[in-house]
Amino acid sequence: MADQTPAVGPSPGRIALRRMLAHRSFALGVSVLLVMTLMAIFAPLIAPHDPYATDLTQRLLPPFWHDDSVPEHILGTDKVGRDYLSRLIYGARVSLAIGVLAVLLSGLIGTVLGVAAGYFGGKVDAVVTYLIGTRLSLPLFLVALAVVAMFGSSLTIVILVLGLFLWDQFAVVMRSVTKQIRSQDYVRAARAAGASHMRILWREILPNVREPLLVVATVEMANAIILEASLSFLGFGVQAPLPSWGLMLSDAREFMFFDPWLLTIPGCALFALLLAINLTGDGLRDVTGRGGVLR
Amino acid sequence: MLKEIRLDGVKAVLGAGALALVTAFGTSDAMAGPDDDTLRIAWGATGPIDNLDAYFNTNRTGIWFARNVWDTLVFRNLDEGTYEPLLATGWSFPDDTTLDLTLREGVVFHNGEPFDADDVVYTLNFIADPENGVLTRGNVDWIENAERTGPYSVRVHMTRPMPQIFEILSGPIVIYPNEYYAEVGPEGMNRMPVGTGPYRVTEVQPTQRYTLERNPDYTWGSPKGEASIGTLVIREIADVQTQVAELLGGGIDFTADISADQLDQITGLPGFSGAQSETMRISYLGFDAAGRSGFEPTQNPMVREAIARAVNRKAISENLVRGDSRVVNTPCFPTQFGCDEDAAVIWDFDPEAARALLAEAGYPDGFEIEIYNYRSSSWAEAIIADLAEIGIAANLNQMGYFALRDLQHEGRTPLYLMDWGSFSINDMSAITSRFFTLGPDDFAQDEELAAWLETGDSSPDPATREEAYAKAIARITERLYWLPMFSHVRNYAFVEGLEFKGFVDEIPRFYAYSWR
Repeated sequence: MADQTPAVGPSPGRIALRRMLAHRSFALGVSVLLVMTLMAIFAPLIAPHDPYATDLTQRLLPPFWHDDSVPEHILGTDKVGRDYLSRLIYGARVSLAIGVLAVLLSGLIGTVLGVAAGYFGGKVDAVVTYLIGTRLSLPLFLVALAVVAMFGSSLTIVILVLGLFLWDQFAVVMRSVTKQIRSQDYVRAARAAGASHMRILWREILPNVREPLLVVATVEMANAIILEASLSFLGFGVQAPLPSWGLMLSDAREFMFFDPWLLTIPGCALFALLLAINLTGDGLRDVTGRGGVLR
Repeated sequence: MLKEIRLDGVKAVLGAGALALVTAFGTSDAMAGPDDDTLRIAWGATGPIDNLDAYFNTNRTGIWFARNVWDTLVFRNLDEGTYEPLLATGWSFPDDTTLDLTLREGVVFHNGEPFDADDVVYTLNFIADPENGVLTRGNVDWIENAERTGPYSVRVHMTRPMPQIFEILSGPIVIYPNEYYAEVGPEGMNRMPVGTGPYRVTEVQPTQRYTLERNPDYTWGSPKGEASIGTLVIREIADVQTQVAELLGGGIDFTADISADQLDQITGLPGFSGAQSETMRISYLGFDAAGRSGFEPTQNPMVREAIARAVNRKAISENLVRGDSRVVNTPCFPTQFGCDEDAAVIWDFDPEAARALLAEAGYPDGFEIEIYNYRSSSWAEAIIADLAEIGIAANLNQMGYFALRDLQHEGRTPLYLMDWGSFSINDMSAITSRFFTLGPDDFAQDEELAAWLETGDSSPDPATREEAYAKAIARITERLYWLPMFSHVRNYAFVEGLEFKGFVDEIPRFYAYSWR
């Protein structure tokens, strides 16, 4: 924390930026993530074809590195003749939307519970600890199966299931960080000055849990994305024909021995996205000095 | 209808993985089949056989198993289209609801029990009794009871005239040994099936693995012929990719669960052969015309017509099902008795007309609909893309067969892509009457239609039956309770050296196979 800034020299923001740029894996992660995010946002402008448009006469065309590839489908086509590149680009939307929205939801739940437990302690802490324990005892796939059986499966359901499920890490980390902070002098000072709990939480606690929160968020985002892919792969996730990388992998199984590119392309995309998110998270931890060694 | 796929069509592109598998394991193990006279079979993509007792499963593979282990009273000669003696050597009908059977002498069951009238009487009376809970009631509910009229003669009293009786007697009705079955029941029959058929069962690991050996006593001149291959080892493998991996790696010699795409690819590899045949199974797009799900649009005939005109059945049949699959316009398979193609109203692919119809029906901007599917999602996805063209946003609900069937019985499916294989019974009653006689699968709830089908099912006069069935076909296709889609194909892949023999009714007779 740069709370003692010298009068002259670079501002704290610039220092952080410089550190970030010097941290190579962080820079790499952020760049890939940025590219994927832009790809997702501008998918309609970038994608060469409609990702839903089928052409049954043009199915299973190979990608460009094969001799009999077709120039208008650089990455080939899938089992019903949809352009693979376009589906890959739109798939980034699904993955990122699920990652971001599920993490927003679970982050909100986890932070509220964790901060409350850490700050108030006592009975509140006991209740929250109990909730965390309960949550950890529930197997995600069993719950997902039950939810799909009851409500069917859709993008919204997947986001809700993951969002309502992945808050435990947030709660655990927020609880322990808040516990540390609440005994800090500035919190005590605020309390002595007569500040209300709300004010202390809002002005003193929350700003100081921001970095660990971000680090947990990146880990959980990667987790949510891989879980969506797994759920969709097993048929409990989003439904076809929505372009999801997990679904693309699932569809490709039938062809894995003979058209392995159908499997490798979405697999590599998923790998790159998860790697980028994890590199970003690690880098964030490093450059903010929270829980890691400064470079 | 059936064709052998030869090796000269080797595909230019071979998957690296497949080739690696073959080169790694294929050469030595794959040849093990002929060497130890054992055919290793994998099946089970739609689930393992719940109970090997033929009356207590509804699996397609249950029929396959039954044909090889048990015998029926009558043999259906598929090539000639005739019925020949099997366990019964003669039959006559003193009246419309009585059947006299003369039985074959000199047949023995696998456990040594000799076959006689007591076995037939016990089996027929057992399956006719509703208390015993035979799963497919339609196959047995025509039997009132059976009585012994001599050591090798039996009289069967029927509850109603049964015009398609020989389809039933040559298909689902297999004969059990009375002493053994009385002692062990369906549970024991599952643990160790005993029949008179060309293969006898020597080992059963329920829902996993069955070992069958050639029946040395099958020498009494059965029209099925004696088995050639010594041992069959059948493994239930639910995942088709695992089956393919096992085939390529030499773990199995035969699979019938693969897609046409996989067939092309496997037969492109050295050491493997394949075959494909059209089956009696047809897919259909079903509409909730009666409004059981409460969904408005499908109750409107114009909407159903719009959907029927929007779906490019030919493209799906030719490009996705492939092979010998063809567009079917009747709510039954064209070879089935009564399935008159001329009676059907044919809906040609015409998206322009579909759009106009939809607007006329009051949905110029289309609507959202839930479509249900349990088989290959490619077919449903192609339909969804076709519907999107005319502005209908269809959401896919992909689920397992039994889950979907339960939803249907609850009446919750406005639009569904389903299929039916008729138990390979070459008679329209096995499909159309099952779905349109006001039962839980009936989304038309058309009483007039049900009455016609009832007439068709029970009238002894073929002309009356045909006429009633033709009316039913016209009604179903005109009002579009179903849009009949296409016929299915069965794709077989196996090791080279197996003399495969295909049958048009989707039932592999392993007793007819041999090693080259």
